[in-house]
Amino acid sequence: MVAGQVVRLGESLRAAVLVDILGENDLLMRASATIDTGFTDELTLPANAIRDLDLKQVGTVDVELGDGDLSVFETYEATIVWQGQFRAVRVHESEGLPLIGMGLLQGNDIHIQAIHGGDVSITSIS
Amino acid sequence: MVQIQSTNEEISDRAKELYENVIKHQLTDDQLGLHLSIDVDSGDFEIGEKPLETAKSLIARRPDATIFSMLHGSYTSVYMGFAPLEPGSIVLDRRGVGFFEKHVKHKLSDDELKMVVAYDIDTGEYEVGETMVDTGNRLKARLPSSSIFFHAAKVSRD
Repeated sequence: MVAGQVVRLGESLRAAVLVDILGENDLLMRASATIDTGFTDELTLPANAIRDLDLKQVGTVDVELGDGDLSVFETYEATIVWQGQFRAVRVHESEGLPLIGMGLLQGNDIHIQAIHGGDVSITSIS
Repeated sequence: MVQIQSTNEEISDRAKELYENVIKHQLTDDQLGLHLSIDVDSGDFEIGEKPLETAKSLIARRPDATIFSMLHGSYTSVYMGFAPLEPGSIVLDRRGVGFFEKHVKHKLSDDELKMVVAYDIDTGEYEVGETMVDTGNRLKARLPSSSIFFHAAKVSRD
């Protein structure tokens, strides 16, 4: 199970889980990642985090943003800990909060107590 | 050879041109909705179920590929929201820095030093392998409550 918490973001709440991202360079990054079911892929990280971990670029991709605008994003490969196992994921470079999307959540049962300090749990369905 | 660095927008435009003029005519309707990675330099491409695997297969064949990823039938394959970054939401753990050099490196052969090394900073135990995922999961299977870091020899990515 992946456990997290509902935290305040300005006036609103966000459901966040801590995700460990490993670099090949003896570094580990722990990110408070927001669950975003409107994001269709696996993970986003800001440019600085991608540089710190020296992640390998695997391409570019058109992304449709929340306001309908299209933008070209760089994609990278990262190794993260997910459900107790190391797993390779596609990361999009985005300057906002780290997001985890439906690409990573697929196959899981998600519970969110949507109150400040509420529990968040992500459990594998299989 | 002088390589001209393209902007991301130029890569995206060139990929769409290749897709419309060449690639889509080589694909079938059965493949609509599958993930497509296109090398905009060579025109070579890979199609498959998983976007990361598709890109990596193309990189394995063409290490210098400039890749644009999309779906067969749709340029856009990713939708995303946005929230501003908050201070403290990303923390870098440097406990592995120096540990590898001090406690692990001298145990490895020259060949092993060219591979991916997963090591646990609590016990000094390690595994050597081809990929971070396989190597890390082997060490995690032996040491479930470990603090695993990775070290890999730097290879030129130019």
